[in-house]
Amino acid sequence: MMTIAPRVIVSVRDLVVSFSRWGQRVTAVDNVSFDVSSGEWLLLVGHNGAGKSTLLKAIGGQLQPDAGEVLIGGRHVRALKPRHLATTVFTIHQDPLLGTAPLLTVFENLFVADPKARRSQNSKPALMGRYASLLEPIGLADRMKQPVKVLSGGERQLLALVIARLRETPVILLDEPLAALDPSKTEVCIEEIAAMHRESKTVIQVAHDIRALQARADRILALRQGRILAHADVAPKNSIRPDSRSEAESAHHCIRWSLACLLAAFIANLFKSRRRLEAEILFLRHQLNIALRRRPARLRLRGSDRALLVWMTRLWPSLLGMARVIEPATILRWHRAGFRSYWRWKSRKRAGRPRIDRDLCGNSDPAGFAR
Amino acid sequence: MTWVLPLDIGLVMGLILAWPVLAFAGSFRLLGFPDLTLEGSLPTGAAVYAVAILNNWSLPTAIIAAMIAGACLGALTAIIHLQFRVNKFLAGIIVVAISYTLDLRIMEASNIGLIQRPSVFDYVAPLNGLIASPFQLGTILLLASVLIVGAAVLIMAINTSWGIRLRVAGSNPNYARALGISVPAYLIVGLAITNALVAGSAAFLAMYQGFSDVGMGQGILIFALASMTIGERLVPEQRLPIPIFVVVAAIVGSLVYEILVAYAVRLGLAATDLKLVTAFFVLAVIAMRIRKHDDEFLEVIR
Repeated sequence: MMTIAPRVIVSVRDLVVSFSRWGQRVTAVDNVSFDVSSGEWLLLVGHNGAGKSTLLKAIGGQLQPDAGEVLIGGRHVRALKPRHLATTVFTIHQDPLLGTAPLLTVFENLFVADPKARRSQNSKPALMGRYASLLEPIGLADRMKQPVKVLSGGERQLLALVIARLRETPVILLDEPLAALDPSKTEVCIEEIAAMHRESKTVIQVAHDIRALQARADRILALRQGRILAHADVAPKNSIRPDSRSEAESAHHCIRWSLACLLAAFIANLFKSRRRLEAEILFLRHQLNIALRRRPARLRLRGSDRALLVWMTRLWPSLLGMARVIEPATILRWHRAGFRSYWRWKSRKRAGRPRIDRDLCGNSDPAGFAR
Repeated sequence: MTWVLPLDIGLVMGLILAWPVLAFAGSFRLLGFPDLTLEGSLPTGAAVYAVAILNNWSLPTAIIAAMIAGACLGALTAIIHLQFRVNKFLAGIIVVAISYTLDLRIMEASNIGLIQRPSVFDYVAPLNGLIASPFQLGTILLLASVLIVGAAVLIMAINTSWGIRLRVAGSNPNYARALGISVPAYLIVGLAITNALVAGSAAFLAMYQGFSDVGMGQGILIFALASMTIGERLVPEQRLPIPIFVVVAAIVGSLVYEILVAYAVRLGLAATDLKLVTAFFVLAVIAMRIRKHDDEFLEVIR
């Protein structure tokens, strides 16, 4: 057990994990670095084969990385003894059959996982009472004497989560625990994870379907081909959210939130000086150039164009403000469409006249739609 | 009273050979290790016992020596499996091969006679023939009490926290590892215990038969498998907790099987055909099990 709980509990530094698969070298995790604070609920998302599960295994100390290191509580995870590791990290797998011992009863499964069961002079009835209170929310309290093999997959997964709560390890790793569950069980399961989160355990969860989870988790880490694609900090959003909320409610909340964002950004832009807005235009154009893979060029604009762009800019940040709910790719598409229509409008207006500006970006084809 | 004689022999053999069945069922069902070592640890136990008795060791010392030899073989199987990543079956077969040479080396002959040597059955000899003239009541009572006490101790042991951890290691090694349970250590100790039981029963077998032979263990595996299957068929599974079910089924299966065999031989079945009949019998019981579809137990473990 850790004596002092440091702020950063899990630290992944330049981690590289690769496999040899059919004679081919596959780099599953490619130079990944990130920190997880104590008590944080981190979601790992990504396509199949993005390296999520491998990363989780490396954090859990089950894999020897090729390079880099994983520190838990400031100590190298591979240097921990198995017994020490078991009191630091607990992993729940996607397959419900892996998380429990099927031939033992529910009580025995909990007993063997309970670090306090043997230490103190707990009598069996006292332990049973304690476990019954833990099993009550998942509806298994009256099935404690049955062997785990008679439980359904979903019930086993819930039992595995209760065991994880019982383990009192500071870090819990969840490898898609919801994958095998039906929607009603998923909700109970998320409640169990949220309960662990409330007990200030650090939860690192691999998830495919984040719709129900993104309202609860603190941070999302997207992986792609073994690299970190994006970090999304969803914590501030969650801090203003009440704890329990159905999916429909959270969707409503999401829309309300984004509308509020939009409005706030629009109003804020109204009060910005023209000079400030022009600076923002410059910045936006630069970003857009990068996004469109074009060479940044000097902005050359005249009176009416400039005024239009100022007004457009008053909307753009609002669009950016929606980035939390709308995919970046969509926003980029909107930007391109905006430029396209602006450019068409401008060329119609100036038809017949000598063209001063080639276009907004100093290129002949800003949005790249002629390619 | 001729019909009693097969019952008598069947009961005695069933009570002695319940231990190997128990060991096999325990290692297979509770430890998740189909342990073939018993085919080697049985003759080794008998050999060590015989040599110890020939060297005038006391009875308990000789039995304990046999059990230690069996434990070593069991541990060896586990170590071969873990250290060299050898398949569980193959590890057992390797140890059986080792034990054959070992037995010949220990005994320095292919068999040793133990007639006129002390035996625990001497103490209960006065009880024999108390009910009917050929019925060995004393022997049966002694073996039954040893078995009952032993099985009770075993059931108690596997319900302690140590036993629960042992069963977790056998039932789901991944889960055991996640809980910080050292699976290899528990596997080695578990197989050592089951094979010690086999070797202990081999000492009783040698004592009862009056000799120790290097080919003693032949066919013990099919016997154990058959008995276990029969027992699991006969004992109501749903009413008992799994560890108790495994132990009770092994004992019941062994008794039923030995009594059936004794009567079959009595009715004129040639001893040479016994193994073929046994194999068909096991297949029939398994087929019955498949048709009834009421047994989740096998499905889970298979």
